[in-house]
Amino acid sequence: MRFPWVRITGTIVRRTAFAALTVWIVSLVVFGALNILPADPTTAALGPEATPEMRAAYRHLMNLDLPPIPRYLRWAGGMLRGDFGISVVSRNPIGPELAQRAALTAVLGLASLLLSVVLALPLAVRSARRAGRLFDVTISAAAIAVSAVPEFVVAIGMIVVFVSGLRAFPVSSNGIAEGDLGALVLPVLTLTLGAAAYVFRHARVSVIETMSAPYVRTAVLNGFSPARILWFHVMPNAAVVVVNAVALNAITLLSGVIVVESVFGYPGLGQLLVQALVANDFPKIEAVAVVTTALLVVINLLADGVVLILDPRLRTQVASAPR
Amino acid sequence: MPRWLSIAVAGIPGRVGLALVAVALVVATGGPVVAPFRHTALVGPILQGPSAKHVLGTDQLGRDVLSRVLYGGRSVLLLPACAVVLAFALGGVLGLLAGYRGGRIDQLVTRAADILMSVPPLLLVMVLVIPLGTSDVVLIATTGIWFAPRIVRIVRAATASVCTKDYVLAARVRGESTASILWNEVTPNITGTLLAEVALRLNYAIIFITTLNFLGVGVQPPSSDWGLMVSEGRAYLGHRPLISIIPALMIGALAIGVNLLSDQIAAHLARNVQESSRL
Repeated sequence: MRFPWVRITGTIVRRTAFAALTVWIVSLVVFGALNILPADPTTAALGPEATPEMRAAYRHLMNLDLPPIPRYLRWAGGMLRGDFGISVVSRNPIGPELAQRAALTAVLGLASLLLSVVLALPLAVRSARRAGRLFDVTISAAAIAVSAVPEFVVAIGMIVVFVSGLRAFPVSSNGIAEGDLGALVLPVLTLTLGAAAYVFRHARVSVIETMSAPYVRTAVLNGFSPARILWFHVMPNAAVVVVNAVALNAITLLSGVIVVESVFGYPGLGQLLVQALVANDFPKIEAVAVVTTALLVVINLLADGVVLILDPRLRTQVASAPR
Repeated sequence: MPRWLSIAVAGIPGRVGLALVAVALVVATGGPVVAPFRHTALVGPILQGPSAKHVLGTDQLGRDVLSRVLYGGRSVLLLPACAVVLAFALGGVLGLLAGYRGGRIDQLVTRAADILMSVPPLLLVMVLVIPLGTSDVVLIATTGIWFAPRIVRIVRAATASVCTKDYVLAARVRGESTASILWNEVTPNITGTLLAEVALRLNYAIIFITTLNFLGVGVQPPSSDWGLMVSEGRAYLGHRPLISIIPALMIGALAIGVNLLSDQIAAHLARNVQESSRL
């Protein structure tokens, strides 16, 4: 069968457009939410003794003397050009800080996504083959427990087990910024467990269903070895479901990243967002919100792309709407 | 025995789930009645370990931890429940209309739902509470509105499949109004499908709202909401871990219980695909 270039390109264009739409809507909502407040930010930024000239200058600098729509356009245009505004708190441009933190968050997100598959797939296959027996029941119960509870509960559990209990890892450190990979362990582990539980449940169901499919029974009757059946017949179809589940995870990853970075003090975009919210640093909140959304939307697109390439069947279906 | 109950206790996971949820319900509703102290009362020296007077010790301000846990269940159960009700009310009405009418309305509603579903919820709610505040109403409204699109899709799909049945056609021929058809013919026949979704949405709502509370953008101190307690007790995990661990365990128990129930209901439905219609 010829590779359906036209359809794939169409799907990619459509998905990218939708992703861009998502980022745009987030920018609108965030900008709208933070700009409808009547409070005068000059007092907070400059202090109560600022002169009227200083206030006017500040307002002009922050584009506050413009009506909302031009202000939004100027802000959005600036971001597209790489100018992310100036923090109200630190008076520094926000851009440089974003780059390093975005990289750290990306590392966290991608590592967790990958590890979740590496962890979940073998367990799912094993569980499916021993469906209903001790191994399956135990692992499935664990998966339900982990996927049902909020991420911060898992995170606190990690701290109790590893930090208080085993005294193995630091709770919060800037270590990662200095290249200490140990600081990556707990955050990645927390996110991985959550994602892996989700992937595990879907993969297990998929493998069980595939194993009872007619073509697998045919393969068995043909006398193929169990190993060959597993690898050539069962896995390719199960893999599609798995990658789909992984792709779905990329959006929920955003919530997980915010929580995990907050709990473990991981210096990524999520932590920056929480800090900016606490400090009421509006320009920073706006910039971080948009950049974080963009980052995770891109990761989502990449995962979707992988799914598209791997599954011949999906290429011929109409692109489904986002979940 | 009501139908949902008999479904729920049919299997072991369902029974465990029901037990966990029942415990959480009892604690949430009856807790404040049996609590030895009020959740805001400063009753002892700070950061004490478990003792006869304070079974779970005292927290960083000198409040009794056990009492705070007993008071804290209300927001964990009430807010998500209200949010789910709101989501089903909004999403249900829109989904019914879209599924029944089809055509333009259907497309419009589905597109809007897709767009709403694709935006990151936690991020947006965290930003929206700045102008809107963190009152219970705001939390319920934002959570409910974010859940509504998914329910719209499910209700729409279920409605569309029911609308092909003869009794709906018969009602239309009889001249029944749209509202009457939707209420009398369609709704009773899609409640089965919706039941599993209710439990699942409740699970997500609990996760979402407790996470908001944990991050400090939900319910505010001095409330003893469990998520908030976990966050406040973080600094003392080495010294007095109970302040964080007990509320975390309660949240975990409730969440797992609701999840087990929803799995049980979903499994039951998968077995009984053919629903008998109410004529």
